[in-house]
Amino acid sequence: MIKLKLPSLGKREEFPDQFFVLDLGGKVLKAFVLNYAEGMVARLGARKIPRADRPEDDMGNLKEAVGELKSDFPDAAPVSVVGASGPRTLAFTTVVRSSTSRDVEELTSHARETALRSAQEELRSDFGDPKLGVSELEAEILEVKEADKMEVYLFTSFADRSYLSEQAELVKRAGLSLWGFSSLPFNLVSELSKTSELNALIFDIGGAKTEISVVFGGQLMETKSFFWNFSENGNPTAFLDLWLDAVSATLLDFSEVKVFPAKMFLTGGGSSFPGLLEVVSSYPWSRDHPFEVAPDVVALEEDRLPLSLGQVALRVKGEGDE
Amino acid sequence: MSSNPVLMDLFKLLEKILAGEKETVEIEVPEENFNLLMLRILQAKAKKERKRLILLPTGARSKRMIAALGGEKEPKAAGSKKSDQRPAPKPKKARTGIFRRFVLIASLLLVILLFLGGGAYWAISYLPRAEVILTLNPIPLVKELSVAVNISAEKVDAEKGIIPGDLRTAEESGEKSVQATGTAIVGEKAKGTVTFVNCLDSPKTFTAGTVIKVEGKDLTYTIDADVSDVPARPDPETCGSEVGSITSVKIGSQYDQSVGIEFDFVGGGYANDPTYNVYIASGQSVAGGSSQEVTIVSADDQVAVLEELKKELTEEGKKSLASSGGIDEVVVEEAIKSEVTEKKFSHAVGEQTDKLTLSLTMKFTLITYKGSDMQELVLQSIGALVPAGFTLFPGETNIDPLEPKLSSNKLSFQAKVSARVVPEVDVEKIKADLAGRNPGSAQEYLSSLTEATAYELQLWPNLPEKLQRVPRNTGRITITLVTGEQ
Repeated sequence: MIKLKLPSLGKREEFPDQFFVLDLGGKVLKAFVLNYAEGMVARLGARKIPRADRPEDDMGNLKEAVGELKSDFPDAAPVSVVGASGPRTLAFTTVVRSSTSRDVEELTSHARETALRSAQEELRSDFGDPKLGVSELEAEILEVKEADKMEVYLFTSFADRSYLSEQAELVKRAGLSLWGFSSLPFNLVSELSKTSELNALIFDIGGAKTEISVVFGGQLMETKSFFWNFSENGNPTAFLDLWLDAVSATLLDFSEVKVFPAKMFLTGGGSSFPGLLEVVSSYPWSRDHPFEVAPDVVALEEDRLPLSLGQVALRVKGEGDE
Repeated sequence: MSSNPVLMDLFKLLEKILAGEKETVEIEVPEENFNLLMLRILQAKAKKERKRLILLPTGARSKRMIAALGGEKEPKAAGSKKSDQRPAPKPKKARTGIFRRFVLIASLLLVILLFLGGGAYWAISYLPRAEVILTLNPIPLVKELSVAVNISAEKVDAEKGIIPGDLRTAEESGEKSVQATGTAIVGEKAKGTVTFVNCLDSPKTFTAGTVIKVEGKDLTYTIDADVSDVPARPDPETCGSEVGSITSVKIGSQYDQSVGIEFDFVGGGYANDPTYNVYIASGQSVAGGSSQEVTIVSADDQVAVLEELKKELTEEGKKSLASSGGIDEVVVEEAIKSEVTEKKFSHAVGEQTDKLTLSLTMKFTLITYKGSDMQELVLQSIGALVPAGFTLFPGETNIDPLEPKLSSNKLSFQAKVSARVVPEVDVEKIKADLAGRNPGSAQEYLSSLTEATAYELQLWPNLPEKLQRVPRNTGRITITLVTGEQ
C-alpha cells in the first residue's frame, strides 16, 4: 500500500496540468515548464540563469526568465514546485516496526515526530546552531509490510527554515506562487525506480555542493552533503583528487551501511566537469569502502534531476485519482 | 541587500592539508556554508596525509561544530569525534652512524628514482602532441544584399550597404596576326583587234561601249573606242570594213579568241541586224585573258582577330587591375569597363594577303574593393540571422556579385551571400578539458561533444595506449574544425 502526501507547503487546490518547477542551485537558477498529460510529464520549456554577484540581480534575472516562459507557454499556471537539496536539507527513510495491533496512522505520526526531532538535532549539530529552525518538507509512507509484525517505511525530508525562506522569496519575486518544496534526490529516485528496483548511490554534483544519496530497494535511505565549489580550476587533476577524497570521507560517514550498492549515478551540473566521470569510474572504491564489486558508474542527462520534480505532479494527480 | 555569500572552498582547505610542509596544519573553520561533515572530511584527509589537524573556530557556530566533532587529541578517521590540538611530537633521531649512512643512501636512491620518475612523467605529460579534428554539421544560410562600392566612402556602412572602393584603370597594347581566309578571283581581261563590217550603202560608226558577244557563246566584250566611219559597201557583193579594238567584259582566258570567230551585237541598236558584222580577221586576235584565285582579307577575319586580341588584352587588363591593389583586392570581372583607344589593321577587307595583323590598345576601368570590407559588411548584415548557439563558419562564406553595374563613382551589385553556420565551439575549453586525459577518456569526452558530428584524435608519440596521454600543455593540442562536406 502506498499512501501519498502533498509537499508540506503545497496548497490544497487542484494541481495544474502545466506548471513550473525550479531548481535554485548555488551556481545556476533553473526554471522549467512541465506538462502533465495522461500519466506522463513532459518538459515544455526551460531557462537557465547563472547566479549573479548580488541576490537582487538573481531575483531580477529569474523574474525575467519566468516572464519569458510565461509568455511562451501562456497556459502554464504560475505555480511552482521547488527542488530542495544540499547540506541545508535532510532526506531519509525510517523503518518503524511494531506489533500489528498498532494503527498505521498513529505509528506514522509518531515516526514523523521522531524524524523531525532527529533532523532538527542533526542539522543544528551540522551547522553549530542550536536555534536553527527546521521544517518538514515531505512525509510519505512508502510501504507497509504486515506479517507477524508491522513494518512501516516512512520517507521524510527536512530543511533549514532560513534556506526555505530564501528560496520562497526568490519564487515570490519571480512572480510565481509556491506549491511546495520537494526533495530532489527523492524525486530522482522515484523516477529511476519506475522500471526496476533501484539500488544505487546517487552523486548530485551541483555547482556549489555535492550530495550523496544511498538508495536501497528503490527507497532513498539517507543523504549527506558538503559544500564544494565546482568551477574551472588551474589544476583539474588535483581538484578532482581532493573532491574524491571528500566523497570518500563522506561515504565513511554512512557508518550504518554494510555494503554499498554497486551502482553510481552522477547527476547535477558539476557531473560534466572535465575528467570527473573518468576519475569516479577509475577510483578504487572497494579499497576503502564496503563494495562487493567495483561499482558501475553512469552519468545521467544534465537536466534529469530537476526534471524529476515532475514526479510531484504524478504523485499529486495520482492521489487525486484515488 | 548584501552580496551572495562566497562559498567556503573546501578544496582549498584540503589543498592546505595536502600541501602543508609541516606536520601540523591549522585551519580556521568558517561560520557560513560549512558543516560538520566537512570537518570530518578535513579530519580524514589529515589522517590520510599523516598530519595533525588543528581546527580553529572563527565564531560561535564553528566552535560548536568543532566541539560536536569530539575531543580526541589525535587525528581520527572520518566519524571521529574531535580534532587534535596538541603540538606535533618531535621526530626521533637516528642514533648510529651505520643507520645514518643507510638512511642517506636510501634517501639518495629515492631522490634519483623520484628524479627519473618525475622526468618520465614530465616527458609523458608535456612532450606529446595531440591533433583533434572536429567535424561540424553546417547549416546553409543564404541572403542577398544590395551593395554599393563607392569611391567616396571611407568605411563600411552596413545599414546602407556601402563599402569603400578604389577606382582602378589600366591600359594594355598588343599585336596579333591571323591567317587571312577570304578568297578572290583576279586576272586580266582579253583584248584584241577585230574587224567591223558594214554592208550598208552608207558609212557606219560603232560607238564605244557597245557590247558584242561571241556567236553562240555567252562571252561578252565591249568596244573600246568608237569605230568611226566604217566605209559603205563599194558594190553589192562587197561590204566595207574597219579595224577596231575590243576588251572582254570579264577576266579569264576563256575570252581569248582566234581568227575566224564571229561576234554578234548585243545592244546599241545593232542587234540581230545582218547588215553589220564583227569577226576576227587573219592577223587579228583577242588575247591576254587570264584568271586565278587568291587569298584576301575578309571582314570575318578582321572581326575574329579583333575579338581574340580584345580578349587577350582584357585578361591582361584584369591582371593589371588586380595587381594594382593589395592582395585582398576584389576585382569583379563582369563589371570591368573596356574601351578601344587605338586600332590598326595591316590590310583592309578584300586586300590580297595571307596574313592579317592587328595592333590594338585598350583602356580598362573598374572600381575594386577589399575582401575584408565585404566580409565585415556581410558579418554585420547577416550576423543577426545566425541562430543562437551558432556562428558563421570561417572560410565558408561565398559572395557572388550579381548583375554588377559600374558608374563613374560606384560599383553596384546584389551580393548573394552563401554562408554556413556551425555550432559554436569553445576550442580553448575543449583543449583544457582534454588536457591530461588518456586516449579512452579523451575519445569519450570528444564523443560527448554535442557540437561535433565526428572527431579524429591523433596522439604523438605513438606509445602503447596505457602510456599515451593528451598533453597537459594545451599549447600542444591543436584543434581543427571542419565541416562534414569537406
